[in-house]
Order: sequence, then C-alpha cells, then structure tokens
Amino acid sequence: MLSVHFCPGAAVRHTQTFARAKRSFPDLRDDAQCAARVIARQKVDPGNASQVALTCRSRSWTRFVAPCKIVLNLAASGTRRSWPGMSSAWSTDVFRDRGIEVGAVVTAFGALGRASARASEASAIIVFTEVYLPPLVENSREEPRSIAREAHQNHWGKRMLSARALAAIALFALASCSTPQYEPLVGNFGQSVAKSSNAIQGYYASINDVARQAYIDQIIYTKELKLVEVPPDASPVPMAIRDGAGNSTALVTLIDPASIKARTDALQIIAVYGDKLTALSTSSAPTQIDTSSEALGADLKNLGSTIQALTAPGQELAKTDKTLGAYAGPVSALVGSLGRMYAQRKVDDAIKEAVNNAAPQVNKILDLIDADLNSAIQPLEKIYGLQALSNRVIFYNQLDQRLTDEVFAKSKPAAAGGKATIASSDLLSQMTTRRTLADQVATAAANYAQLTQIEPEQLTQAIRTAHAALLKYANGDHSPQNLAELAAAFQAFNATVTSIATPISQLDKAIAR
Amino acid sequence: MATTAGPNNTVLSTIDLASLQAIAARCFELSMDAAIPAAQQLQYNALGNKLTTDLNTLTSAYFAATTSQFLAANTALRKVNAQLSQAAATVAAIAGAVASVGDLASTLDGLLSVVAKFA
Repeated sequence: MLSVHFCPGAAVRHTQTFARAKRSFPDLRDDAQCAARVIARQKVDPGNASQVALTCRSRSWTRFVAPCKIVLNLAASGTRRSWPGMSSAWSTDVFRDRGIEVGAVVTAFGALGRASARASEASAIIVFTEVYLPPLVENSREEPRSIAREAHQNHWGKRMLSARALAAIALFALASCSTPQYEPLVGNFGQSVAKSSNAIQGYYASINDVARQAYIDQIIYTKELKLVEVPPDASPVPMAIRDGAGNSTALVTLIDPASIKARTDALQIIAVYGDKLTALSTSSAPTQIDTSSEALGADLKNLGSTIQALTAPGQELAKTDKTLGAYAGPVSALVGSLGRMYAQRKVDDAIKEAVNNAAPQVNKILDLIDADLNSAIQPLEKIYGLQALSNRVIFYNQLDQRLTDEVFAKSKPAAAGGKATIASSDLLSQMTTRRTLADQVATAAANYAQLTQIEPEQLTQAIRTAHAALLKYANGDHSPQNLAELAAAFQAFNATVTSIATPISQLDKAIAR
Repeated sequence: MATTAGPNNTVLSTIDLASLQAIAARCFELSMDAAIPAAQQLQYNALGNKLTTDLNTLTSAYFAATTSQFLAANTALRKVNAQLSQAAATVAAIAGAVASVGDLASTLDGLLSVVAKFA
C-alpha cells in the first residue's frame, strides 16, 4: 500500500494544503511522520518533460546542506544539466529561475542514481523523498507565483500545468513506482533484530531439547541405566531432575530458561535502540521527538531489570551461569543511554548520545552473545548430534551381529554335503528390524548434518553489519545515496536473518524425529 | 577458557572446553570408523558418552585457576587432544589413545568432585 509521508513540521505549516491533499488522496496518512523521507523511486524517461528531480544532501527541505547535486531533466527544452556541489542558496535560485518555488509547491526531493549523472544514459532514477502539496491556485487569485504558471512560462511553452497537476504528477510517479523501497525503514531494524532474537532463543532452547534427547539416548542405549538415573560417576547438571543420589540430569533443561530469556531480552533492547536511532536519523524534523517515551521507558526498565535481578549477588542463577553477569554492565548502560536518547529534545543530541554511548554497549552485548554461542552452545549441539548418531550406529552393529547369530542358531542343520536352511519368515523379520534401526541411523545422520550447517553467529554478525550501516548513516550527511545504502543494508539484514532463522525453526522438528 | 573473578579476588576459570569438546567429538567419530576394531569402537562410544556428560557440567563450571587439579586436567586435555589428532592417521596409535582418553576421564572425575564442593 503506497502512502505519502508528511513531515510533521511541514504539515503544521501546510495544514490547509494537507487537508486538500487528503481529500484528493484519501490514503494519505494523517499520522505519518517523516521517518522515511525517501518514499519512492521511479525510473524516468528523459523524454518526459514533466519530471524534475534532484539529489541533495539535506536532512530536510528546511535545512539544505551543501553540497548537493541537482539534475534537471528538462527534455522539452532539450537541456540536461547537472550541478554537483551546489550550495543551498544556489539550488533555490536555480529552481526559482525556472518557476519552481522550493518548499512552496510540489517539491520532489529525489536522487538520481549514478547512471543519471552520466549524460549518455537514456533514463534516470528519481527518488522522491518528500512531497509537499501547494495551495490550489484555480480558485485563488492571491497566489502570487504559481509553479505551474512559472513552469509554463519559462520552459514548457503554452501548456498550463496547474499545481494540482504537478502534485498529481508527483503522486502518479509514486503510484506507478513498482518498489517503494525506503518507506518502511523505521521498524525494519527492530523487526529483523526481533526475528534474530527469536531464532537465537530457538537455538538456545533447542540445545535443551538436544541435551534431553541425548540423556534419554544414554538411558536407552545403556542397559545398566534407568530413566531419571545417571551414571554413578556423573556430576550434577544444573536445572535438571535429580536422581536418588542427588545428582541431576538434563531431563528438564540443560540451560535455565531464565538464562536464555535474559539474553534475548538484551537483544530486544538492541531492537528498540535500533528503531529509535533509525527514526532519529531519517527524521526530517530536527526538533521533533517521539512522545511515546514514557510507555517505552517502562518496558525498557522491565527488560533491563531482568538481567540486573538475575545477576544480583546470591541469586541461584548467578552460580550456574557466570557469563550472565557480564551482560549486566552493557545492558544497564544501553538502557540508560536509550533513556537519554528519548529524553533529548533535539534529534542531533539524541543521535550523538546513540553514537557515543549506546552503540559501544550494543557491540559489547553482541560480543557476549557470540562468545556464548561459539564457546558453549554450538559445540555442544554438534557433539549431541554426533552422540546420537554414534549410539545408533553402535547399537545397529551390535544388534546386527546378534540377529545373525540367532538366525543361524535357529536354522536347520545341514544335511551331509548340503547347506543349512534358514526360514524365510526369520529372514523377513530380520530385514524389518534392520530397516527400522537403519532408518533411525539415517535420521540421526540427517539431524547431525543439519546441526553442523546451522551457524547462529551469522545472526549476530548480521545485526552488527546493519548496526554499522545505521551508525554510518546517522553520522553521515543523510544524503539519499546514503539512505539508499542504509535501506539496502536493512534489506540484506532481513534476508540473512530469514535464511538463518528458517532452519533453526525447523530444528525442533528434526530433533523430535 | 572463560575467566571470572571469584571470592577474595581469586581468578576462576573454565577448563579448556575447546579441547574437551574436540576430544568428545573425536571419540564419537572413531566409534563409527570402520578401520577401528569393534571392541575399540565400543570403548570410544562409551568414553564419548562419558565425556559429553562431563561437558554438561564443565561448560558452566569455574575453578580456581591455580589449583593443581585444574592445571593437571587442562594439561591432560591438551595432551590427549593432540594424541587423538595424531592417532587418526594410524590404527595402532588409536589403540593407545583409548587408554589415554580413559585416564583423562578419571582425571575429570577428580576435577568434578571439586566443582561439586565449590558449588
């Protein structure tokens, strides 16, 4: 669903305009923020004289920041000009000279792709970042300069192009755009981190399943053992059913669910931070700040307090999960920094807080999760998979020999000079037993192969990459090119997360087979 | 090896988990290796199971890094890991490695009795 986002500040200035636009285009969003300033992209035919596009390194139309590059594609007049490194004043003059009053009427802030900078290209890519609709001029004699009239007078001959028509052109361009790629930037990071978090949580949880299965395997394949009984020389395993001797098993869980939740909570905080920084970085209203901080602040407080409580001195979990304590510092610092990001009244100050204070904590948390996954969880998953396979192979080989011995024992003795005969039913029964066991071996082999192929650290790596792109954009000049890079980074992030999360989500089914 | 601060500023450390993980995995691999005699396959399977059970506990167990038991266990882990890596090339060496892994399991049992007291 295509929608046009209005900068809140601009909406205030052009309330009347917006109301009219709303009547003409009911799907315009009243609550839209200028979080995604680049809202559409379209390939433009140079022969279409109605298109005007420019790129500018500006945070918003109210704050032109040099240098900017403007490309006017005025095919009707047979000219095509581009001015790299244009100053803000110049850019305004250029448009005024051509009857286009920047910010007063329709302004399509766009980016021409690299190809468009080359005169030899037959077409160009326009990225519309914001669309401001002008007051209608048909019924208003007070309108001093109609962009339509100016445009008509200066460049486009006798064809009148009304402001409404210009607005329609811009919106038509949006509507005909096949891939409105940048519109949903805000929320992208958080959604992908949330998906990563779910996958990591699933991976953590799967090790409990695998460990439980490994324990039951040991019971099944070790005839001396019974369920809820551990080998005499086994040592306590945290969070597990205890046997008569006080030892515990992995029957319930190997890793305490509270330990897992604490880590995924940390990821959730990163998701909130990422979304906030995206919103701040792509905002075109420098003084606007999200007002929903109170509700979010309470949520954050809850998330942060989970780890604080679990790692407090004397807590049982702290005895068995010593690496959890390392999370407390970075998580607490990130929550504090995030609170300050929300408390800031200026976007620039909030971004500064994010870059200087929050970002390092994000990296520390990701390092800790990586260390958990690489040093403990992933190797254990693989060993359990190998264990299941080994136990089944050994059992198959043992039973195979026994079956062979039994069938020969039951066979009729050979007559002198003849062969011993084996009943067909015995052979068939053996074959069925072998097939059943062999299927179990095959399943265990497939599970092991699946476990070795899953690399959950790719999830944290994907978060790192997207975070780096976000920081680069936040620190940069907010040009459409950089925004395009950010959008591409988020798309890659989402694709990576999806590709890794899917096999992890299937892990449970594989284990259960 | 992960480290953390213990009471009275003692340095607590996990054992060499990477080596133990590698040894357990190698035991299971050898238990399914057709070049290994059946009797030794069984031994490797049993040792793999034993070491995996130990891993469950040792993964999150921290020890005073300077105790003789801890140091001896880590030395044994590295030695056996290296031995198993080299033994993979020759069946004869694998037979000898079984005994070493068995000794290692005993060493870890001694260490595990310490962690039980520590916890």
